[in-house]
Amino acid sequence: MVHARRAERKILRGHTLEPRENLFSSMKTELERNRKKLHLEEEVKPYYLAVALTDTDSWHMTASLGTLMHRGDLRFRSIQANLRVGSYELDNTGFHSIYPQSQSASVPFEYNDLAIRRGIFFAFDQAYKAAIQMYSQKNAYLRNHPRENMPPDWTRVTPLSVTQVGHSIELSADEWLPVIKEASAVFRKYPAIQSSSVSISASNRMEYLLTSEKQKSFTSDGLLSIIIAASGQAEDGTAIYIDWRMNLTPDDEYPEREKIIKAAHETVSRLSALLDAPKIDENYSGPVIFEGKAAVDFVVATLAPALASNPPPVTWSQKGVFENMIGRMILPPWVDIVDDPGMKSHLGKTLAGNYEVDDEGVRAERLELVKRGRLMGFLASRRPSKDAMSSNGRGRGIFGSLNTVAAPSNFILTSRKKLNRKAMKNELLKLVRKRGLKYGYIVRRSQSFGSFLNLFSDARNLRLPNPIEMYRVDLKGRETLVRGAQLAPIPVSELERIVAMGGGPEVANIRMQPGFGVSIVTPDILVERIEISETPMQPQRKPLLSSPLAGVDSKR
Amino acid sequence: MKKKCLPGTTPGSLSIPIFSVLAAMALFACPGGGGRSASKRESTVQPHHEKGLAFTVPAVEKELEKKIARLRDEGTEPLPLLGIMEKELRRTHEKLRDPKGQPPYYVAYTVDETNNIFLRATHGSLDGDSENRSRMLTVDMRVGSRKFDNTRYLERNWGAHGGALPLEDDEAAIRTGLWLASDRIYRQAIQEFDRVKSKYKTTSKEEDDSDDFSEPVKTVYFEEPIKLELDKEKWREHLRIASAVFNEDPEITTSWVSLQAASNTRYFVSSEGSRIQIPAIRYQLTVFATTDTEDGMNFNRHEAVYAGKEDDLPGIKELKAMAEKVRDDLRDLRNAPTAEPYEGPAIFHGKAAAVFFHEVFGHRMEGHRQKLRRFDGTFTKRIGERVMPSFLSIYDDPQMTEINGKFLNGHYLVDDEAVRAERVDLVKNGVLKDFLMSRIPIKGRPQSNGHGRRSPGMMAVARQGNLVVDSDRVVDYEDLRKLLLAEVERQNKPYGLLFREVSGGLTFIQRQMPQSFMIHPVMVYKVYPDGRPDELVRGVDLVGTPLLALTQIVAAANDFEVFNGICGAESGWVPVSATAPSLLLQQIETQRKPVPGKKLPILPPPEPTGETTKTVQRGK
Repeated sequence: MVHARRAERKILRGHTLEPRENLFSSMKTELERNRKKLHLEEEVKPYYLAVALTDTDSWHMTASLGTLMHRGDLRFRSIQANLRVGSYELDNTGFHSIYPQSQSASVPFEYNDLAIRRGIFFAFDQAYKAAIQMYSQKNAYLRNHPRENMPPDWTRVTPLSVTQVGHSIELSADEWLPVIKEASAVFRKYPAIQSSSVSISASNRMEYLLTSEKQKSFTSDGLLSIIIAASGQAEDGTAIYIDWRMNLTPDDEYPEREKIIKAAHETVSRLSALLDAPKIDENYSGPVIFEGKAAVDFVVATLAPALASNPPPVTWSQKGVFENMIGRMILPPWVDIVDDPGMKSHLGKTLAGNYEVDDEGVRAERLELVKRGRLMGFLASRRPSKDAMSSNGRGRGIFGSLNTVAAPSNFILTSRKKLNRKAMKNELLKLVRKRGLKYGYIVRRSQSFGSFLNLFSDARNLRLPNPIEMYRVDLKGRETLVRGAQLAPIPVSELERIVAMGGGPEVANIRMQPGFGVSIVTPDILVERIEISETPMQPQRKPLLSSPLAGVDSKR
Repeated sequence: MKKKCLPGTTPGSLSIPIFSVLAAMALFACPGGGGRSASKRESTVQPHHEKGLAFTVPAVEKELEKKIARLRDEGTEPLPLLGIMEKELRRTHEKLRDPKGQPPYYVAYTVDETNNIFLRATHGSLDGDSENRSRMLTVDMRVGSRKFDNTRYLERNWGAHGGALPLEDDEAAIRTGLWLASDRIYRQAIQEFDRVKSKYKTTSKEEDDSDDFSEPVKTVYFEEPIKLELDKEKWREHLRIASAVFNEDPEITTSWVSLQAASNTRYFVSSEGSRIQIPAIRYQLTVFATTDTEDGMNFNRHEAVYAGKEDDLPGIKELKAMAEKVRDDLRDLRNAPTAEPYEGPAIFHGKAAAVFFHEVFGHRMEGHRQKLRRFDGTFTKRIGERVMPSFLSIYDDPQMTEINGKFLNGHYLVDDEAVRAERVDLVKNGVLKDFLMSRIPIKGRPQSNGHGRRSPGMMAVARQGNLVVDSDRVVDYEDLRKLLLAEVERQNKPYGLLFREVSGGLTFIQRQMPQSFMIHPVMVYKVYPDGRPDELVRGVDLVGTPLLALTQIVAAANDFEVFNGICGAESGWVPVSATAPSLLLQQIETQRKPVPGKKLPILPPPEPTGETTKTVQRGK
């Protein structure tokens, strides 16, 4: 049995941790020196400087067919520094890239004042030189491409300092090794599954953040990931890959051994069913239900990024999906969306998107994004847009706290029309009949964007993830699993024509890294028209010889 | 194709290259076997007509034979992994058949089991501390016949990559990995075979239409794996102390001191009956640092020591001295004037001469380059002809582990194609005699001489091992300088050049590129005829063409030096060494180095404080 031990870290892999203030002191000395003196004559000065020091300590293991494939660990301390030159109104950012131009440096993981200050010194020097070049290019560009009513580049706030001492993952790799080996051994009995693995990784992070606006924050947290992956080839040679993923924070309940073994068995069943499933053999245009996890993936691909205000850089021609649409209908009148970072749990499940203050030091409150189908506002960071001139505390660091973008916290979509899954299916069949079709489809799992949240959907057509487990539903309601389908992007206007929502809701946690969690809560979604076609894949012939696993104990 | 050689791991990177490391067994070169102490020579400006240092290894063959015989007599069994590999190999070779394609006529599996320990420190504290184990599979699969097979045009170097295998000897799991990789690589091989057949029919014939693979080789050799042991705590402390040396120079931009210890056991089975289990271990200690100059140049200096035993690594005093040398060289380079392009006489000091021969000559001795018309073929038809001064002889001998007590990085006993490594006399008294051969035959050379080498996953081709430049006419180093100055005066030049340290080099070996080479010297000195001290200069690379450059050598010193490094080419990165005396060349040419143009930091670097390098007390 594996038990979680949770505690604030005092020891980091055999090395005593340095008191926090020592690190902050080294950082402050160099930040202040640069703030006061980093300036090239006749050039624009920095008006904002920020530095983050991050300690990462992680280990991972992979097992396959009951044996250890890889085991390793990594420990490092890094520095990221960025700065802004010019003014809050117009600075060096948002020219070519949506990300800030941070400079990084690796420093010893053992405390070393000089090495930290030197790392910061070099990073600021490079950041400043890059910033003044970018600032002058941006100014030159804007002279040739003037913009009216351009919002400022950075919002003025008095940032809050936060100390969030989270728990860390204190699991021993040795304790987990027998579990992942046992789970991976489940696949030994199935020679039709060509490759399979069970991997586990634990990552603990501590981040020290200091800015010239006097923001001083410390966060420590951890993330445990378990992935079961398997692949095989269908009879026609098409390769099929599926996985089962679980991302957990130190405060989550860790799975029992039995749950991991069960997940391995389920993965076998899901893959085996897909290997035997017929391939989709038509081009379809008609109603589709996105159910459970597939509904989450639908929201992650469409509404979540579209409702985050991440204005594109000035050199891009794209516009935001819902730009200039506040007050207008974007969804059916029975749909509401709120984003509530204050919620800690929902329907008994801990939410990953819970926090008080965002990575830019702004307090986050509950936000109504869509009310009765009408757009009420956007998720906003300190990077303003015409639609969101001030931050509402959604500046989340996606690669460390310095690289912030506007992103959801706990993104909750609700329907005032309450339908259960059976009623949803009936609605689907009604539409199928109405359109004179022989069947409709239900998507239950998609090739999700995995743990990555798609934040930059800026096209008028929204890209949808391809289905993995999709069921053809005939007029009598009978379901057949089909494989090899892809979905065409849908126009934004199609969202308004969502026919029904119900069932569930599914509560899903998405964690890209320690410290960045988003929760999506959504019922199943029935869309009136989705175009489905066969995935263009080149099947490869199956192996000529039988698998060495084929023996007396093998199944299938 | 450009080949680049580095004298160590990639600078500035924490990643650890995968080495095909072979064991440093207790088989020592015998410097007494014809060589003699260089220091006893008389000083004279006239070149000596006598033997320099001859490096012979009479004990090696016997030792190896004895070892094999002993293992067989005692019935020593290989580890279970080899047996598992053999089982799947037999099934693959006997049964893997595409109904429309040809069966493989040759299959070999290599598993490289590697354990790597990496420690690194900067500014007196650790920034790298890791240990990793892996098993990497390489699958060689040949379809067609020895005369003509899927590898004909040597165009797919990565075709043998079989992926990772389980770290435990579980038969079903390992055989599953071998099965999947074999099927994939066989599929590629038959597709490749059809492609080369049609290319053969539709393009004009290569001048050398030799077979694609040599006659079968059967080598059986088992040796117990070597356990990687390292006193980590001691080395952590040594690295901290040595790396703190750079705290004294704030103008150093990057600096670190690292230790990499790697053990590798190679398991090899082939359809020709070879069965090999051969361990190796190697340690590499590196000091690396960089600095920038006011005019936008960037310099890096490194010192690396390779060893086959932990005990042979430098102690803390020597390690600190290495770091101090790197630091002081960089300080001197920052203050040195820039050099202008130059043509005239120069001395290549030992290591620089060794790199010069490795790049300019060694790569052009690799057998497969004589076969295809896309390679330069500079020396292909010059066997029996004089290609350099008659006092020089060159050979490559991977069996040697040391020269005069200095570790040789290119040592191995059996190459990556299961062929026993042989000494190859490439040049005898200035006359070209032979090429380095893998199992890819060329006209007149149907067999390998044990130089088929590769990184895991690549296809083996002929590569250098321990290249040795020997001279039977040597002078003391001081006399070589006198000869340089005499040449400076004869050519009416204001100074000669002395190349002391190099960071690496590259050479072009494809016909579509100019047949040139480039050496990257770091420490270059002007040597004046008027008795002024040598003057360090910076900012030049050495360039030239091979045929001409070799004829410019006019004298050699008796101060042989070893350059150990990792060489990269089409079959991946392999450890090599080159040993050479200091050489005087009548004419060389330099060109300006590229200048990154980075401006020095705007603010002065942070000053150390009293508490600068305190390292926290380590816990349990």
